[in-house]
Amino acid sequence: MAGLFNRNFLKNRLVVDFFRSLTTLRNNSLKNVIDSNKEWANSSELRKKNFFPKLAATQKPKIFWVGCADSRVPPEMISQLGFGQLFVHRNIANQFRRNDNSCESALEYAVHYLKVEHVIICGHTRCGGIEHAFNASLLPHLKDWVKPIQDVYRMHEDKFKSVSRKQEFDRILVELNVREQVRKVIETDTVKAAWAVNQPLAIHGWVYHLESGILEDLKITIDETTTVFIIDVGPTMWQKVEDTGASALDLALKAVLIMLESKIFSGRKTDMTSVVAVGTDDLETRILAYPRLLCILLMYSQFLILSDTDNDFAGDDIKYEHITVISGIEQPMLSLLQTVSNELPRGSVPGDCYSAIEVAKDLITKHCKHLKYIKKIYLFTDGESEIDTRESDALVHEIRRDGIEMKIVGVGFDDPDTGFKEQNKSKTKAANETFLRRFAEDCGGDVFTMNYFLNQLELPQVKAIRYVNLYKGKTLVMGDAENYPDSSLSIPIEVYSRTAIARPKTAGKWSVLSEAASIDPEIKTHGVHVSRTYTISSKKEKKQADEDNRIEVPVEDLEKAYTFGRTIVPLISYDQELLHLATTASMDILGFIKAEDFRREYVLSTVLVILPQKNDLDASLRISALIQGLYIKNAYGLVRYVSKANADPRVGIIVPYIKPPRECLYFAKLPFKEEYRTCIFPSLSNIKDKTGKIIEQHKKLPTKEMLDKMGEYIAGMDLMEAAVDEEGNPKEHLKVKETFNPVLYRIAKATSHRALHPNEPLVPFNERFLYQTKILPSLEEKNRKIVGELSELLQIKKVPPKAKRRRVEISRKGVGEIDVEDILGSKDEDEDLDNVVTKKSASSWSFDEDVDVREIGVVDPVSDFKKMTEYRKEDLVTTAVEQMCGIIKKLIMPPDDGKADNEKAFQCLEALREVAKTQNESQSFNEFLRELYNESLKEQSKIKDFWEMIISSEITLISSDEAPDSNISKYEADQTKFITRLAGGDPFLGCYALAVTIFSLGIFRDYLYKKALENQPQHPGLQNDYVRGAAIVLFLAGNVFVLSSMYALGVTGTYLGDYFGILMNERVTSFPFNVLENPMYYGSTMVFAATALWFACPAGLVLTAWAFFCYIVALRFEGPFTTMIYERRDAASAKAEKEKEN
Amino acid sequence: MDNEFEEEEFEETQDLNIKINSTNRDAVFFAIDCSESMLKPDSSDIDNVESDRENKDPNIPLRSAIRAASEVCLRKIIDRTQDYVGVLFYNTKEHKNKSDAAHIYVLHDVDFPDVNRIRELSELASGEINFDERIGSSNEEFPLANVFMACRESLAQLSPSFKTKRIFFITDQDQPHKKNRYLRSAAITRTHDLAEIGIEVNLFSINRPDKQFNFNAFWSEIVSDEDLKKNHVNTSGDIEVLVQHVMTKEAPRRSIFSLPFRLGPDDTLTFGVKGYVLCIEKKKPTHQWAYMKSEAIKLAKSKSTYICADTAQRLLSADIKYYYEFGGEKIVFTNDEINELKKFGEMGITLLGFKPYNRFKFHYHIEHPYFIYPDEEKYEGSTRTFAALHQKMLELEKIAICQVRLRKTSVSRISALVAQKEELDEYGAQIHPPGIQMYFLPYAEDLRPLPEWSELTSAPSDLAQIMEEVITPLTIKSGFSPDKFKSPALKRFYDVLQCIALDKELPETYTDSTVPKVNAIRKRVGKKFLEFNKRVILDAEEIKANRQDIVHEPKPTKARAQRKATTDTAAKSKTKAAPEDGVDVEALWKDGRAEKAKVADIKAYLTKIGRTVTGKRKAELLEELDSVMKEKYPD
Repeated sequence: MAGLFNRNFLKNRLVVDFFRSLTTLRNNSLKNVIDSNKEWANSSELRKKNFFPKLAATQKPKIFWVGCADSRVPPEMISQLGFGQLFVHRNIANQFRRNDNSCESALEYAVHYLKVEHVIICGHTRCGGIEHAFNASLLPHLKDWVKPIQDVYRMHEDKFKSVSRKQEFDRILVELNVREQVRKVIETDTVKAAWAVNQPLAIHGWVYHLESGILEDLKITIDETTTVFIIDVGPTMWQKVEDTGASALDLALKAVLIMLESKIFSGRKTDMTSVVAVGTDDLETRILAYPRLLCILLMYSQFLILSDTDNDFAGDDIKYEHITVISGIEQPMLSLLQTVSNELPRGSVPGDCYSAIEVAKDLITKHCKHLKYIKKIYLFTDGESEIDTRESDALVHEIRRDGIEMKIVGVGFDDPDTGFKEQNKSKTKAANETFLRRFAEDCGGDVFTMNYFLNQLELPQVKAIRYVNLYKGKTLVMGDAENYPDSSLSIPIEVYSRTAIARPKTAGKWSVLSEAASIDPEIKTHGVHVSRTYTISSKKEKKQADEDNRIEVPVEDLEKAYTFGRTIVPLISYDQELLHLATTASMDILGFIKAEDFRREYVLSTVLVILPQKNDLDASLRISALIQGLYIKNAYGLVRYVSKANADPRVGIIVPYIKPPRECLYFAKLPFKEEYRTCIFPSLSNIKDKTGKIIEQHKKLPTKEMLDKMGEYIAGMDLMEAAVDEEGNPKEHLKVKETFNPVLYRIAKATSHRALHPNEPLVPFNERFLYQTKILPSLEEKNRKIVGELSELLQIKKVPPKAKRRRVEISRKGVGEIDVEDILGSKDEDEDLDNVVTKKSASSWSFDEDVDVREIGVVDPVSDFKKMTEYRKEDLVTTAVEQMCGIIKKLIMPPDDGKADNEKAFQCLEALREVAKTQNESQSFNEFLRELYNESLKEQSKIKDFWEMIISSEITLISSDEAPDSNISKYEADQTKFITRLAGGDPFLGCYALAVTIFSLGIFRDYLYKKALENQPQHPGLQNDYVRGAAIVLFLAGNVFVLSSMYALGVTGTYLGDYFGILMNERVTSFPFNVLENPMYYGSTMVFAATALWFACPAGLVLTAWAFFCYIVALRFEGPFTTMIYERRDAASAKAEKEKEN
Repeated sequence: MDNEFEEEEFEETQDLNIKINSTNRDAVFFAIDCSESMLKPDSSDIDNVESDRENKDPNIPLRSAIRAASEVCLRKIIDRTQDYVGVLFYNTKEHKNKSDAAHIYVLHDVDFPDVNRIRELSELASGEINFDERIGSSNEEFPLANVFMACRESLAQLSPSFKTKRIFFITDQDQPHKKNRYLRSAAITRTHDLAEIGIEVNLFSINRPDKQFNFNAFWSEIVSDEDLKKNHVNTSGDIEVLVQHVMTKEAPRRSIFSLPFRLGPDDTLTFGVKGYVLCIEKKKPTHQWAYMKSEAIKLAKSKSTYICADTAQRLLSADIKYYYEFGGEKIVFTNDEINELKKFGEMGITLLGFKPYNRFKFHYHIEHPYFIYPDEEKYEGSTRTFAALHQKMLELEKIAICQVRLRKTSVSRISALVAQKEELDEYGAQIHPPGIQMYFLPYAEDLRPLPEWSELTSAPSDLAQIMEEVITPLTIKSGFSPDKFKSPALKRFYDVLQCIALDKELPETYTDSTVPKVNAIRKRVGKKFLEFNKRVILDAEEIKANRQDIVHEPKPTKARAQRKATTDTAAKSKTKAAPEDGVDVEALWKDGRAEKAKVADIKAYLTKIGRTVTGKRKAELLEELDSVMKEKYPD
């Protein structure tokens, strides 16, 4: 903004001079004004510049100014902006009124049509509207107009407490007034709509100081939070395991997850986050991990960078290495949590945390624009990576200027508070720690140790809740305030909650049946509707009929009714109003009672706080007098309370509370006669015999020893000094403020855990809460002896539950179903057990019967196979495996066009794999599977279906992980069909899909390449005909290679068909493969080089060299691979042939 | 926010009531003595009757008894719709009963109390139905055993859902069979039969001024011997007290939980307690649905079924899972898991320690208390343990802090247990039972901090003193008791409903016992308020003055200052605006900013050097100036 004004200052010297405008008024004659105008309008300079016609054509102001109508603050002059620069709305005390057409329409026009980029609410000191806001003698319209300013005062009354001078008071009010107007503008639909479509629009609050002529930006923040988490994922973070058994990264993730979880669970739209990882592997480092494809991708990225040098993003990327923005600033969703939790990259190079802060700051600045959010940056690092500290001051300045809270959480940092010093720190770390500490200090931020930070995070956080006045009646009355206002008491009050039970979120209902529904998963809701049906008994008798005898009736035929005993009173027969007591909101004191007479058990509700109306001195004095009076007299008040019109009246108690400087009244509901039930219970201390004589000794009466011991126990179990504070002093245990509802936290935790790990069981309760369920160990220890003695004295005996009785109770209570089921259930279990036993014995018996299975039959091949392999007298395994392979082939490829029994074959295959794995036959199995595979690839193969079954199940080659005799790695075993599976199981489809992708990427690559060449400088030395000629030759040769090899290989051959298991029948050896080993790569390199030469671009040549290098690296991996798979295939087919011969 | 919470709370207690209601039904049979003495008005205790009570009838014990019965019926209708009430008179002239026994008149057999019965009873009580004509009194001796027989007949055949079956005797005859030993023992035998099948006999005896009721003469044999006190209430003839006692006894104690109380670690000192809810907020009932198209109006039963939104299939409870919204997705849990999430701490009451009573601050209330009392059923020795704890907590003024989980599905809470002393009235009848009140304490999440603006401007002591003087005369001597106020909303609701049901005319006015007695207040402290209000204004003025000038209205001084300020600026601008010597036009020109100079200044300057300026525009003047200057400063 500052820049904007500097520039304009020089441009706008045509603005009418401030002093001159005052002279026009001096003579008090309007003619002067007209004259001056004429003079001005005809001034030669303006005319020369064709000023007016230009100005008249259109207005394109960038600023909408809401200012005060005060004559001393003309916006154009104080801002030194000229014609066509400001769109202005001025009124008394620069108010923006919602629903005031004048304000709203101006805003609409400015934002929607003029597309202004800034809205400035500008107040000024010495504002008459503010000064007279409380002036009761103002004229009616004026009074009405300035009234909202009184509200502004009331809302921020506390800010005026220490103010003693009127001038100061007004100054604060001016500022607050501006803030309030900014808030109102932000809340308009117009602004919201503009923001929704990302229209650049910033709202500012300024104050113009009349005394000095200076404009001040208030830097107003709005209640939105933006947090950027920077996580160091460099090698030291995840490689080194801390004492706790977790790596630094684990700890950092834990902390970030806790914070993200609570943000997500609360679901607030105004709470935005971004996650930045520092120390991530950039593309060139990843190349080592993913050979061929990534080489090519890398090439693209270089093209991209060179081709689009204007792009900020790419520019940033060059500047900030090893920094990945995992998610931009947005409302955190589950996906972010998942990413952070599971997919956060672990880098192999250290990244610069300082640059990451810069990235984070840029993110925030870009997102928040000129809106003043609450901005936070958290950095989690172990400080082991080098920090580039060159531009530190500038960044500090910016962070300070933008009001960003900087929090650095260091793993293994020193803790100056506890004096803890981390041992064996590396030099880098020590230096970095010092630097980060100084940096945080400069920014006004904090540095925490990870342990401390996690500890703090795991403490339950009680969320602040907005105060809502619950009482609509406004006054607390004593006496007849209506008729005798002077001789009664009437206090304007507000009522708030003091206690309110925070209940866990209620869970929604989710239909299981939806899962089976055959609709698009996108629109599947899993929703549950409630449908109500109404039934009446079909019998005439009053008695309740059975369920069977009820008839359903339509809702239309029903009327609302109340019952009085057995009498049904339908609502249509009378005026409903009659039933309800009409009341007006009120709070009346009925009288007072002595505090000692009051019984606490009558309190049946939560507690409310009664406070005087804000900003009402009289009210404050009155209620304070009442509070003090009650306090001194040790009395409570009885009140009748109706919270709002037509609410039911309640009787309640008011209790004074004083804790200077706080004073208030507490209110709680008391029971009515209908709500209290007196019950009579036998005395605990007086037991009389029949004659009315008091019995001294009775089994129900405690003896003196018991009483004494109990007294000792009570004293011993005192909690007032049972806990220990941070300084080691005893303190009260289980303070109300320090007990937490564990369920609230567990539900939140369980939800996020389930979201991330859907198949894991519920998370257990946080152990931190367990102290709320058990006697403190220290107390238990202390009282062990007393407890023993007490238990000896009291002789409590558990009465054994009477089985018979229980059953009676069950049936009587009518809740017996569950118990009965339990009983039945256990019975069933017993039966099952018996069955199992008999079955087992039967099977073992049958096993003994036919030992000599030497051939696998088609009827029950699996069990035959098992018997053979389990046969101990002789090793039949190899035979069994061979036979089984034959059986499977027979089943899936039945001779004479019989029907294939894939199901059975599959079972056989499973059994085969199982046995092969454990019995050193994995080689045979793998070969068999490969054979099947090759068979399945044949055109018109009968076993395509069967192969699909194999694909969709988990049957793979047996890897060396599973069986030591296998020579296939797990990776290979899994990979053999991985991409195939992606494409729905069809290798050809997969290959074609990849072909399309690669081909289109190729086109894109070429486009980028061309752009890169266009953007890069040309070298004059290359701009001659020889070079061009060479380019043409290279181009033609290259294309010949590429196209001919494509022709020779076909689509599947060109585009990595071998990865899908689609092999050519022969390895291609025709042209161009007889000339070059990899004509495709060399060809395309030639084309690149040709193009570079054509454009005379040395950068292109560099790129070509780079690409060629990439190809060579790729070929190092590819060559052996291709050779290997063909060799393997040859071996397999050779073996197959051999078998055939046999 | 607050309302929402209330709603939920309400549902829970409502559920609780319904559950108790349907599984714990109660049947009461009133047996009211109609001997002639019961019809005699009682004059001696008339002073005791508070003057503002509704009843202005002569104090006839029989009528009070009938009224008590009618009140009980009414209460059952409102509160416990599943209970039965019956009314029987004995020592009557007429007779009406199944076995045709003389001197026994069964007015209502045990059944649902309905509107017509209440009407009949209230008409009998008020005298609208002539008692003598319809039933009549007799002093002839007849076997009291027959009364027990008649009661037994009705009560014994009730369904087992009636957990309590009681006979309420209301009589002033302490020795019904003074002379006939045979009849006497027959009566006693019959009551023993009753006890065997679980029918309890309760006695409400009435003292007459001329004759104290001697409980031990006969009735001590009749009334079940377990707890004599429990089942015998002796009153003077005061009608209200009688009704009161009957009402107290009306609702049998019904525990809502029976749990272990773990006083020591590892079950070393675990005993049994039962819990009761003695006071709970009640709201007007919600309406029901009635089917109007049959001959008789019938209540419809509603049944909710859950329907799958995607498949429109009916969902059984096994088909429903639950979800929490999380980051835009529905995170699903089974019902068991949802319940599991709440399972924290053990079921029952686990002692964590003791604190002084004053640590139980007033603003820690969040709910009605639960009353707990020992239960020997599961642990023998519970009563003595509980009694010892109770007595010692009272003596040491300590409260117990416990972890409590009442039900499988309920959330564990920290509670304060406060021992409650037994209190008896002057006749030895229990007013407050001995036991322990258990209060749920708020968790940190349930506490709302006091708002910042609770830092009040404290009133000066003179104001507080006037308040003290107001408080003293308005202090209610007897303190607060729930009996004093009937819920105006509930009363209105049931009054009107009753009138509609009985087809009576609606009452013109409704008495609302909660409306403040403003006239009495004015009479007693009106003058004090007058003084108070005056003082407040004065004090407020003073405080405002002391706060120097941060008042909201601009003070005269302020206005003056402001005026001064404006004149200052005006003066300043005047000096600027009226340059006698002229603004340095020359200097401006030199700076190349001649156009910045005001027309007047240029004119003044030009006039000074003898040029004509009239009728010229600024542009022309500037040109003029330009030429002059160029002449003057050629370079």
